[in-house]
Amino acid sequence: MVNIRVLKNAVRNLWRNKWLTVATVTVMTLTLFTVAMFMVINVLLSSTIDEVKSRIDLEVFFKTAVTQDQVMAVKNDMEKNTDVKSVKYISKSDALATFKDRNAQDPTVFETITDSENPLPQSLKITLFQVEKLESLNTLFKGGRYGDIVQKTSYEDNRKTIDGFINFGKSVRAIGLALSLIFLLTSLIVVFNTIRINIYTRKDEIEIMKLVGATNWYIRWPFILEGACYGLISLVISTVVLLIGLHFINPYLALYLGDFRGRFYDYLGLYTISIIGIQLLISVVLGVVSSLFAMTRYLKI
Amino acid sequence: MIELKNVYKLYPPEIVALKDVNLKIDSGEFISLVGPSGAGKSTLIKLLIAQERPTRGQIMIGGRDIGSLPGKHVPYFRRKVGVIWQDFKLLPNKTVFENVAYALEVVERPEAEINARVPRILSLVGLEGKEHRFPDELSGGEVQRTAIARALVHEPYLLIADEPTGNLDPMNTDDVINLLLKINHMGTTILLATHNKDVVDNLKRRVIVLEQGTIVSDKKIGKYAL
Repeated sequence: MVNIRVLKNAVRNLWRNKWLTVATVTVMTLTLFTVAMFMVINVLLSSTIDEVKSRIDLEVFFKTAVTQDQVMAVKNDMEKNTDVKSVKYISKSDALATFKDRNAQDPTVFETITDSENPLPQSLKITLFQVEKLESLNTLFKGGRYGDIVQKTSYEDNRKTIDGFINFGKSVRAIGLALSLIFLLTSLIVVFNTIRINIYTRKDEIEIMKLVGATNWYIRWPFILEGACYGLISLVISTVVLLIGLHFINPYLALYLGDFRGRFYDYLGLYTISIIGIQLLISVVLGVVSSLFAMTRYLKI
Repeated sequence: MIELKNVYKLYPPEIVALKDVNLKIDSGEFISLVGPSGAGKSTLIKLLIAQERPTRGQIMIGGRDIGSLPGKHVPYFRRKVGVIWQDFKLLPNKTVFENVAYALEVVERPEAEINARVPRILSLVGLEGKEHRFPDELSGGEVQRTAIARALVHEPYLLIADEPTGNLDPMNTDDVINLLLKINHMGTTILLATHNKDVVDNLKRRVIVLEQGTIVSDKKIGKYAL
């Protein structure tokens, strides 16, 4: 069906209508680039969320009346727990030292707290092997076995941070999806219109082809290939632009992400195939579907 | 070879292009189809090349009813019927050779066959030496001969000529008609739709007169009479 001659015809048509090709490819490239960009942002967000999650440990603050022995007993219990990686005890004076350190620039805060009147609680910093166990461990301190001696834990605060990220991610995804759909629709219309114009400019040739007995698919193929070509050219441009873009924002990414960057690139590596695959699918399907639409409408065979 | 039985073609709501047309054409005949504008000549030709389908009736060509030919068979049927027109329908950006070769290209014939067959047809229609001219570098008669070459390249059993001399001066007209006669001699059936009285009268062949969608006269050796 598709032989060299048909392929040659399709490419020649693209070249013959250079400016139409440029316009069509531009819109399709924008579409693909938008889709790809939002996919990359998505990867960036989910890698950040996972990185934050993996670093979260549970800080347990004890009530002021609780003695050091009681806390050490809890610490012992925790060390026996198989989910727990490590436990660090932070005494009242340790907490004060850290606090002073942090507020060294601010004498008003600094002077309100002295060694004799140290309001800071003792705490345990518990690191887990698996972040998923965080919630069940937290219940031990919130109303559970140690509920009576615990003032509060860091769980809620961390939860809020992560939820914030997740919600942000959801909004970005929604915006990405909406923008991608708008661009997709625009591309569909533009390719449709381009093929329509091409059918129109070639109508004499099509008429002659029909009258000398060309099969319907022989007449249709060049237009389908034309649509697919627009898609593929756009895919190549969009991917190249994306790669160059990533290369250039790399230093800024390092600033923003710090040592999170490793995970981002790991994830990006994993998703590269999907990002390009989805673009390939979109570009080819978009090109072919719009030309099929245009043909059923304008190519009467 | 060709038989039309009770053929009607209506264009709703109210145009009756052909009304109860019955016609039989034998292999090797040379038939002139005459009639005033709007008599239904063009409609009849469109039906014969399966460009339109009859509203009612049968069009038997080579034992098959063309009116009910499935769409995907139409291209293969068309390769057996050559058509030429008043406006030639050549591609202006292709040379004589390329225009003729095009008919073979689009039916996916191999290059070697195209290179062998096209020069043969071009010499048959008397266009040797003009293979590389573009249509606008030819005389009207030569352009029509190119179109005839293209129509003949599939070796059709029927050649339909729709006003082939409508755009030509008398000399070029004779040129084209003589060529059609030569092709007819070689065995191809020819259906010539024309307005040209002199052409029809000189041919002394069968003449079918169409008026308001019906055949009003069909004579073995006819004259142009309206």
